[in-house]
Amino acid sequence: MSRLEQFIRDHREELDGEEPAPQVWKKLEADLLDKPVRRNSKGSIITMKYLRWAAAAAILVLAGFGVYHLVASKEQPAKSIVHQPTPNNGDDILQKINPTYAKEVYHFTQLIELKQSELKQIEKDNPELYNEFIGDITKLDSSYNALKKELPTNPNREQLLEAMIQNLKLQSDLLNQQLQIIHQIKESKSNNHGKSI
Amino acid sequence: MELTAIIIQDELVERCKRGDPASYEALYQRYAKAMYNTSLRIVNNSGDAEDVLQEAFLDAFRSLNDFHYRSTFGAWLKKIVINKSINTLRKRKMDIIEIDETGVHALPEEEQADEQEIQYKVAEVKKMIQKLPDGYRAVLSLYLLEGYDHEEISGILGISHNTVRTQYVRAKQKLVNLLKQGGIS
Repeated sequence: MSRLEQFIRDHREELDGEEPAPQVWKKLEADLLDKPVRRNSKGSIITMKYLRWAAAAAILVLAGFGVYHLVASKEQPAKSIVHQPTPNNGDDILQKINPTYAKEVYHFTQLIELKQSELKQIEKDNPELYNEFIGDITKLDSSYNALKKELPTNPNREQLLEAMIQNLKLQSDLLNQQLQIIHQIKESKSNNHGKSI
Repeated sequence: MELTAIIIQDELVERCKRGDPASYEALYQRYAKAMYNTSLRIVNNSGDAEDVLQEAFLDAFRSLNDFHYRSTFGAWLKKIVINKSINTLRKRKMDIIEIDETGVHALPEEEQADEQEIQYKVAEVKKMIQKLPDGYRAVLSLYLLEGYDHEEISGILGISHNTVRTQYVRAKQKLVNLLKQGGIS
């Protein structure tokens, strides 16, 4: 980091020295009174939940194919390296909060383990890339674990659970992207090989 | 990807969700100053920054029910402020990115200022950030002051990672040069 960057980071607070004019709030207040903020509209929430389930269903179908291929092509799938929260662990509390969410968490966790073992296959060919990928996943995973630790004490468990599921979904998406990248690399390699011959 | 924040419910936000008028003002007061400064650094004009501030809070209050603590309220609000600020910038100059992309290649390499000679001062740094061209200032602010990474910035500005990277390096160099010149004169 250069001296300038260090300086700016050290003096971050002081750089926020300007004050907005008081009229901003007055205008805002008038706007708020003019058209009151809408209250809970159930509609959007229901569509969200519906969409989420549709997405989960689609992923499950794909995962089914994945399992089949993996089992068929490799007798011994490689062990995953990043620790994944096992569904049994603290599963009771999830069940108590919301059984459908618990199921979702379980499925995503399985899906992620599956993809990680797929990812493991590139470790030999491309250890640098593999480590980078695993690093990204580990970051997400640690925030997942932080969320999970919150769970027993947090007053709003449903929301926390939603965040956990969102996190798992991100992990799964990320893994998908990583696998896609690997696929592309392989493809371009084999293309180049073809040309040189 | 911003998922590292541990999500804790915000009592004030919850009261706003229930429509309590006093809480709106309290929430505004809590974030107004920081958000104003964030916008001001991008749009570089107090009138525009105040417009952004007002619109962003109005949008945020009206869509509070879409806020589910995926991030902190502050981070969520800041994203709205930044998007509005960038839009303001775009409206003013037809396309900040186009100018940036051509500008990068058209500009001659500026001589590398020796950082060691410069004694930085907050007021001076602030003043010189204001002198940066719009595109440079936006990338520098988002990265160095707002803490977004290159990937997030490329999403916000709709430019490639590479452009973000070169823009940032050049913006920083330009700022160092401005500070050096300022120090001499």
